Amino acid sequence: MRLKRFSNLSLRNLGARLQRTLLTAVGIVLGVGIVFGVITLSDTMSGAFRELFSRAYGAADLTVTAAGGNGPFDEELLKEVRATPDVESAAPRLSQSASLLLGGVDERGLPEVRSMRVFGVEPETASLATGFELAEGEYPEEGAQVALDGNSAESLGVRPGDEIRIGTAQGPTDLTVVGLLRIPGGSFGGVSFGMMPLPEAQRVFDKPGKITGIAVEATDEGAVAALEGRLERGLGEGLQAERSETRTAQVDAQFQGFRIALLFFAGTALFVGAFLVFNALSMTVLERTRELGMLRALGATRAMISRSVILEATILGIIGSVLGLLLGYGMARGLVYLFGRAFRFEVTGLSLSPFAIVAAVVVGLLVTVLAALYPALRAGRVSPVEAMRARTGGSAASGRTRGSRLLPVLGLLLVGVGAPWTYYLAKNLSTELSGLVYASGIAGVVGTFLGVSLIIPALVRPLSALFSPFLRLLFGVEGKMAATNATRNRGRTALTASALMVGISLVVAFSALGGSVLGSIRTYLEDSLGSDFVVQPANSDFDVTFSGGLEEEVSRVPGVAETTGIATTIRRDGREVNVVLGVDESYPEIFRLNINGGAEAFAALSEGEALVGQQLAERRNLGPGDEVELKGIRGTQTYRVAGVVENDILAGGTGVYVSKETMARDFGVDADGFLAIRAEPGADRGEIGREVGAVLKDYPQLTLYSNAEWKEQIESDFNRQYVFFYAIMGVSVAVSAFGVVNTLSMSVFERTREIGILRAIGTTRFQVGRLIIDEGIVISLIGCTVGIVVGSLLGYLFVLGSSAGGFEVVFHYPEIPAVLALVSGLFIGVFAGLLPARSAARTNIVEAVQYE
Amino acid sequence: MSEGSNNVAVEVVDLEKVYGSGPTAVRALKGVSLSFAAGEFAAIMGPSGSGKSTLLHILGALEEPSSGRVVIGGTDLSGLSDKKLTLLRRSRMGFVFQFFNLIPTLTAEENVMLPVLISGEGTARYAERLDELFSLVGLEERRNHRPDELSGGEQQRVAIARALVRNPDLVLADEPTGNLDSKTGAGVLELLRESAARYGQTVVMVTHDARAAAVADRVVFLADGRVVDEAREPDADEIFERIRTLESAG
Repeated sequence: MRLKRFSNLSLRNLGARLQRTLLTAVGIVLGVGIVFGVITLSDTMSGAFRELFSRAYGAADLTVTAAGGNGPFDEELLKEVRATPDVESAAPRLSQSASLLLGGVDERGLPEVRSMRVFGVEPETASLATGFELAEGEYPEEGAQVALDGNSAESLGVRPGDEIRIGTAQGPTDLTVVGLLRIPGGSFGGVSFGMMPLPEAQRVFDKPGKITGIAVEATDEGAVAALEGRLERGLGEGLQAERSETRTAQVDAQFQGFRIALLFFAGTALFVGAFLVFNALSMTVLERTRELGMLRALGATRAMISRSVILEATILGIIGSVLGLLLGYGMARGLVYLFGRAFRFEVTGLSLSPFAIVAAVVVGLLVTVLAALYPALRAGRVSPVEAMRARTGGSAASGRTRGSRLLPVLGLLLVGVGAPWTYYLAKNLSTELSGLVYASGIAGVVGTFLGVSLIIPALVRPLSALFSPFLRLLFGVEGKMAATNATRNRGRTALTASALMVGISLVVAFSALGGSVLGSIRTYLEDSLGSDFVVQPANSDFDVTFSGGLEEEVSRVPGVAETTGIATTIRRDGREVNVVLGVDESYPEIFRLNINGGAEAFAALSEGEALVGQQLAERRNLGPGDEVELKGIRGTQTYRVAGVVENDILAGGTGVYVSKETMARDFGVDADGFLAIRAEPGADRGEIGREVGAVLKDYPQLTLYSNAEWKEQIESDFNRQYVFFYAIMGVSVAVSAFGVVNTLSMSVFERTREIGILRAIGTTRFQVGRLIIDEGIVISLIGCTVGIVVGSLLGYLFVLGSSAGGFEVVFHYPEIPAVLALVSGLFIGVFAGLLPARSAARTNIVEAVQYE
Repeated sequence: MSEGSNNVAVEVVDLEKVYGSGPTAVRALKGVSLSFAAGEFAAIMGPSGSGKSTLLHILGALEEPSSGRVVIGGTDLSGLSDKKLTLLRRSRMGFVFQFFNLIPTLTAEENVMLPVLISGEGTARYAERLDELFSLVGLEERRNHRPDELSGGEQQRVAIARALVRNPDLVLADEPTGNLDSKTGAGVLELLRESAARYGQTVVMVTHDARAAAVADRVVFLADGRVVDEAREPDADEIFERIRTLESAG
């Protein structure tokens, strides 16, 4: 290949330094990968939810549901809807969670089940009621018939004519498969779908005369808007008519905040990647000083030189971005898997949007080029006289600039503003999940990081001095030298350490938050939960209920002292989401509630009053005697607040407690979904567990937990969700580790002569190598120590701010993550140092000493 | 080469160069006036710190003088912007460095073509020029070799070809033999002399090697930032003698 243009020189340079090129690109690859992975993850998840809704809503122009939720309402309303002008047809449905029995038993001896959603439908209007299509056979006509989704039928090995068994409120029910359904777009996770005749569904799910939705088709498309208004008015406040797109838009809005949070983590990885590019290009410029001077002498202008560096960065950015996309695809798969595990949710297939691809590449490229600006400027400023100079190795090493005294002050200022700001927003983060709050919370955290990064240069010397005796103890005189070496180019050491600090502090901060929330939940459970067993839906579905007969049966088990059933429903009103809990008098017997307003406030529930969770009370500024409005099937109702529940963990602080009667009358929920059981003192709990288990054997959709198991379950759910975040944060720590490699390579390069002299006067290869590794350890330790301090502080702010569960979160210091962070700092230092140390050890003494 | 030629290619008048300021200021040049004729091969000699490198940098428009004038081919360099100076270097000058400064990732031919690439000219019209230069430096067989496959002398020949490729008026050489053994060095000097003669170029070379200087038409002696002596077509012994005198005086 003949060189045709000056710009081709950049390409040659990259090719010649292939190893460094790839090392530099690693940061971009990981950064772009994680950004792409995260966007794809959120696209995939919101796409999956959107699809779920479109399936459930089907071809309907409008869907009528209970106001503010998916609660049941009277099927008589169907007649009214049908009588409304412009309604072409209307299809009722009763949507219920059930479980499909797979025939086997699990390790606990319980039947193996898969979650299932069952729709009770009319055969005539079944095709309108949901988005599913009939692939084979027919819709269920009457009695114990079911149309099952094709995938589930296949995995169970059943054909039309065969029987399946599902768990319902009435216990296990056998149904004859009469048809197979096709789910447009393939299977949705591990969930099965079925259709039953409406009357049969109402019977087995204990919802006589109730439906949860009416799918409406308008006479023509132009009439939809008018019809929406007419239905809204005509049906009264208790019901709402929604267009399918409205719900879809709500899903998207809910994912927006989640997406921004994830992008923040991804952004830190990219930020660290940018730093890697900056460092590597600065190094290249430094190495090529003489060559650049020569080019200037030969008549290359400053702009040409700067452009060639920018061009190198651009090529690097393109390579990195493309590789990043490939990696990102893999990451997206991994993240979707982790997400599924964390939130008990399974999705097949990724949605790869062109936007995600373009965004990831553009961001990757932009970040690379921005990081290259300063090195490019410096390259342009290389004097042509450099061509005449012998060698200009570490001429740029002095780190002291005019602003170096001012920067730490500015840093302190930034921390002083950023940290309280974060605190303030963290407080609001849990109440209103808007994109703006997320974004400004992130701005606070970023400001804090930036501030700390500016302070770090001032900390390099004292911290190195602090580590010096320790290193000396461990590694002898090299350890001490290494600590001094780390302070020689303070700017670079600080930058490298800062990158590591960001990753480490995020890990520590989130560990602190997670550990504290978990610790507080544990404390709450120990303090407030007086039960010995709980029964709850296997999939935490809110619409799984069981008949009152079940509670009675359980309470008859010998040794059971007290039981309390809880009915729940979710209310949505615009952005607000509330959990309404229907409780009876025995509730305080088992849950030790702390009620602001006095324990007697509980008695007021029977007079139609309500208790509200602490967080809801704070948000709406409610206290005893105030009024709270909720939308139900009878329209918006006003309840007098009898008291504020300080430890409302069941509903995450936003719960509204009402009596069972209020629940049935105003929200249409007359069956319980959660049961807490207290044993008599001294009773054999193992025996009670077995007996209650026997009662529940016919209700596989319900799971019995002993208190210990329940706590374990809550904790493991929680930890699974956390693993997901750790995975993302781990990437930015990994990228910053590469930064340490780069910095050490640069140190080795700059000190070639010095290393040669050390070797000449009798330092062994091993000692020289160790010198470099020790320097890596010093840099990493600085990053990790500061990271732990900042992370603890941020974690404390998060905890303080987010009284996340509506109960007080007590700060639990994350000792184990902090110690792990410190240890990982040592490891990162050692591993990052290996390669540069090898090249230092291999320094040719003669060449190095002549290197002047 | 012809004596007394009034065809002046390069002229410097009253050059002063001060590095730094205050008590630590270093006066590298203290009023140097010189002129070089077109086609002249001149050597500048002097002990370390005499200001010879500084003079070369200023002649090459690599550095600006603190005061005084530099005129190259009728163009006064005073007050020209960095961009203008760069373009001037590009079109009028060629450089030969002590450390060759070839780009290791490029072949000999590509290195020679570098000034053409920098100027953005098409490479095609230089095909003949390349043949001519490679035959001049005697490396026809090694055109596609990379610098690390060439000996020191060969590398410096490539560097000379690079300096000559765009036919500069002025070739500046900084210790061109400094990194070569004497035999190879002699060959390189011969080449510089020949090119000056053949293309009518002014060659100014800084050296501290008397034998190298002896090849030049004219030797200018610098000490302590001033021109202290000059010789026309001296031989090596004469140069040695003068240096010794200079050093004992200094």
